[in-house]
Amino acid sequence: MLVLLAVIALAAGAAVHDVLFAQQLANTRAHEQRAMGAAELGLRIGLGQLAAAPAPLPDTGTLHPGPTPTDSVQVMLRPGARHVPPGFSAATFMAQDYEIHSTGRSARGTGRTLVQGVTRLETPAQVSP
Amino acid sequence: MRPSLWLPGRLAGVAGLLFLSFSHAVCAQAAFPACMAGIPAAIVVRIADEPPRRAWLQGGVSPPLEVVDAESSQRLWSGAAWPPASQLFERMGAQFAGSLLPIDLDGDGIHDRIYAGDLAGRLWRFDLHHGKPAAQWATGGVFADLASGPRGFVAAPDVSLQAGQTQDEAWFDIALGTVGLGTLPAQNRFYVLRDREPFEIRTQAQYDRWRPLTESNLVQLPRLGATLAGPAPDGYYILVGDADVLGPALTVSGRASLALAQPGARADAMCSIAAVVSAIELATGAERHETTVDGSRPSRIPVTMTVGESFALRRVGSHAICTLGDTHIAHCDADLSPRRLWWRREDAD
Repeated sequence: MLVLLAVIALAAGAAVHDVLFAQQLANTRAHEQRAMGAAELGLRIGLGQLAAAPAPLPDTGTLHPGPTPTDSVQVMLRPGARHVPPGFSAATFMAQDYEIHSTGRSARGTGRTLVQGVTRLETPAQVSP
Repeated sequence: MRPSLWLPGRLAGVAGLLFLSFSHAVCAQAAFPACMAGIPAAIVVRIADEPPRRAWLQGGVSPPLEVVDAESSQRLWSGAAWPPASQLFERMGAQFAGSLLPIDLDGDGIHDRIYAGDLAGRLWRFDLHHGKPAAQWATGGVFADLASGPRGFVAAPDVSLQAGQTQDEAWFDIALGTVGLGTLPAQNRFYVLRDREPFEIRTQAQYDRWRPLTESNLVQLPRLGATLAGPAPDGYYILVGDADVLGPALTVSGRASLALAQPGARADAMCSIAAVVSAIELATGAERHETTVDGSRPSRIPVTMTVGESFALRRVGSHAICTLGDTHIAHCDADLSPRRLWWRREDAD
């Protein structure tokens, strides 16, 4: 009888452990997904900045996109090469490449970084001495 | 952009054009180049061991071409067929007016190439060698000799990169037009020339060996609106009659917008003139059409512009709105929104 009780207790303990472990995994997965979602949001922020601003901020600092204080996103715009764009006046337009580095963070130090390479046409202010 | 400063070169430019006026017995049409006399082009140069400087590239009589410091007006470089000049170019006998275009080929903020049209109808190409002394700063020569009749270039060329079928195939389309300088109505042209070595930096020996393009190398289109029937490896030109090309073209998405003076139009005392803006596909010469209830017709926009005026772009959100004078030119509006190239994920853990 005691042996049976011990087996049942062990099985119950294992089941509880499994549940707790699965819950932990699910939480971690949820945090990773939140971090990934924040990073994707950061890419959209970066694209929006490049679409709207002639001289976008190189670093947004830490942004909190939602009510959860542990969720954050930081967007950095890193200019790359400049080159003559095909099909456009070379003296008026210049193609400027950028890397949008977007890091989303969530609870327990979870983080994801996405990098989007983009290019846009710029009309540099006429070089006026 | 017309600088407000009174530059020494402007005086030289005016004097040169007066000289040219006498030499060609210029009639009222000379008002066009006179309006553009001495309009310099902004340029950033690095000559000798000096740091990059903002300067003006300007045309004149003697020397025909020069670069002057923007702040001190000190002459940094000059080019002419005769001494004294920093560099001598054998055929540089004619004056340059406003047909000057410096280009930054590599995006480093310093200009690497100059295309310049003179009043004798020749297009010059120069490669600029950063850090070299003034006596060796530029290599160059006549890229296209289109002189035939009293026509010259006063509006800056428009240069745009075009890509071919293969990855390595690329060329510059150089679009520029003439104004009449003689007593009779001119047979003006709008040229689209092809520089097949857009990023090639040539030595002076290579320039000396280069055989300039002539009209015989180009395909002729009899009027604005005609379309190329076959290939034009070196380019083509459109006969535009007595309509002068008064300002630089602007190319957006492979389509060049150009302003032609209305036949018989004269510049007033303020150098203001009536013109018509058209747009052509650089690849074929085909004119842009607009659809109406009656069918399709060339899209031509009447404007009042200042002689030598460039198309202006004003950023509104993710678009650039194109204007000439006070008129919106929808042909050359540009989409400035970013385009995605690639994507990758970096784990930040």
